[in-house]
Amino acid sequence: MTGLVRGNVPGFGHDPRADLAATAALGLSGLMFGSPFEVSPGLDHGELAEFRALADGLGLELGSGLGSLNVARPERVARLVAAGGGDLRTGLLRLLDAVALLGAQTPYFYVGTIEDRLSASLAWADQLAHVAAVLRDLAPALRDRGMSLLLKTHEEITSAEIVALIEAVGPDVLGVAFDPVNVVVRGEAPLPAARRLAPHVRQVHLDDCDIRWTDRGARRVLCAMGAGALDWPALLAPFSGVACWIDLHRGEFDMPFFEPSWLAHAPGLAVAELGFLAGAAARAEAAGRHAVQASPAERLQPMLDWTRERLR
Amino acid sequence: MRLGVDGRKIPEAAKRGPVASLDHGRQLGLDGLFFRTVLEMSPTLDGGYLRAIRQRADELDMYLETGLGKVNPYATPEAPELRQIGDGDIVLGFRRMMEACAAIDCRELWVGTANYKVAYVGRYAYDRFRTDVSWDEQLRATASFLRKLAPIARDLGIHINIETHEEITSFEVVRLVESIGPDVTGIVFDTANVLQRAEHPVWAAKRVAPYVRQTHVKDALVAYDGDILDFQMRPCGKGVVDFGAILPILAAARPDLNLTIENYESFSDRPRRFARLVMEISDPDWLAAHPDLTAEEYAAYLEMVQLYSQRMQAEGMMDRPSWAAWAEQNFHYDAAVAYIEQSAAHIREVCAAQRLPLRVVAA
Repeated sequence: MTGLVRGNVPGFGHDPRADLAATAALGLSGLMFGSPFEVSPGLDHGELAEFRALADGLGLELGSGLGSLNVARPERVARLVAAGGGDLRTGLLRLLDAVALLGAQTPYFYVGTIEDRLSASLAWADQLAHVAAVLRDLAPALRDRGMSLLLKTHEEITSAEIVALIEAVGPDVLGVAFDPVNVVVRGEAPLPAARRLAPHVRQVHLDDCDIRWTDRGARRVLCAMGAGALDWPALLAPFSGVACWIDLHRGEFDMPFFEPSWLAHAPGLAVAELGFLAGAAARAEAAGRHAVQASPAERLQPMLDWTRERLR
Repeated sequence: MRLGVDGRKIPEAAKRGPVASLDHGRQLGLDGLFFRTVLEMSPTLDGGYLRAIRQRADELDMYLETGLGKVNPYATPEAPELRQIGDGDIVLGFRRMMEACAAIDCRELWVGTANYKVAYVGRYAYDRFRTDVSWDEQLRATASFLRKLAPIARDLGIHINIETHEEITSFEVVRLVESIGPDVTGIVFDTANVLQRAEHPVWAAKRVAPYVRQTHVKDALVAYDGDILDFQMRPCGKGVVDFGAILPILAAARPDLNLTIENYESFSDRPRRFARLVMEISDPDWLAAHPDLTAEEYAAYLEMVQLYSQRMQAEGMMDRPSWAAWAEQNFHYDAAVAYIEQSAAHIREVCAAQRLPLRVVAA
């Protein structure tokens, strides 16, 4: 199954119904929303069910995210709290019911942003502890609904931190949406990260990136699928049968690991994994690949070609 | 501190022999010679001849340093002279060498842990990566052998100084010294070899400083060839090694330390093909073989390489293949002398700028 994450897809984002039709026209088998609010801003059950029927008619699966669950930063969860009439838990349950109506039984979320990790006022470990508490509290409701959440390997979190969260919350209700272009932002090598996360991976996000040297370390530049530093055939090998979602990222992140302050926020970073960045940057330079980041519009067609050849 | 040169690699060392090489070193404005091993000075440990070398060094007011040999029992078969000089008993061989050194008042004695294998390019050139015996086993055997030599060293007032040689890390050298005892062991800090173990020379200097007793002062180009790094020797000041940062560390730790320039060897003295030295700097298995390396030091190392690459461009330095080709054709007596003089000038300049206690030789 190969679907499409709706965000950043050229021409998408205005009308969910039109995007469904466009997804089917691309020959893909699913469409993933960032949150159910994109389908129904009021989380109206009738509207959601009707939308799912439309997707069924086109032979499309629907997926959904829940957004950020960094409860330690109230601004990240403001909409959830509002949806719960001022109560976060109520809001979350409403969202779970909404995504279930879309048929998305394993919605994904992310914790926050790189700024959250680097926050001077709020320790990252404390933010993770708050997230763990919320997830533990939500676990019985997830089990009741036969649902589980997937934590995305987002740019601010390490694979080891994700594994620790899963162990704290329970692997039956928390899995992983593995998005390899993001793990490099934390200095991790994609294949070792995949091995660490493998038992918990329920969904894979497809995109590719190359690495460039900068004066302060390295930079992730997104590029056409198959043309970058990720060994996708090897990455996918352990995940046969796992749903793959095309995810055209936008962020052009720096990994300024020459700065001791950056490394101070990367406890436990293994040298051998940092070596992945060094090797990729050196190979790109040796090959004369200096191109800047390719836009989602430039990357969509190569991605469709790649998935057509490799996955469908 | 005094500034001298390598007694094995000073040009025409073999042709001139140790006594005349001392004069040669003095002519080049240097203050001492560091002969790698006492057997290189006299293969028979001829007391009279060794005294003559000492006498000439004293007459010229130059330091005289030397050493013993490899102390890794897995590597000593590659140096049969060590066992031979003990008539089959290698511990006796080392005792005889140590006694001969003590007799000419050489009590800071170099040792190494393995031989670099020029026949191979890549990890198998380094005995760290032997497939028959692990590096840990070699280190254990080395420590065990050094423990046998320790009482002899103690009796004779000798420090057995382990070089930060190509195959060993400074972390491991420090651990060896601390486990055998700094009363009888020390470190020969080679400022550039550590690069081959992905160590930043300044970080390594800080680690070895408490135990440093001899030096090989040298510099190197480190530059990418694809995703591996090439290592080529360069005169001090022309490579990645930051002597401005290292020398104050060493001077503070041991103000009477001798700084011995290890020059690139003349192709007339040792005809050879240009040997390629590489570091598989991004290979996960290669990196995993350096368990003491931290992300912080690795990052500092990578930054050092990037800065050097920018400097090479800015200064229009010769690149790796051009230098290799040039050296094979041109690195003979004159080039080796120029290399030593350029290195010496840089070290003197750094010491003068920072008011470090380097003895100035009258012209």
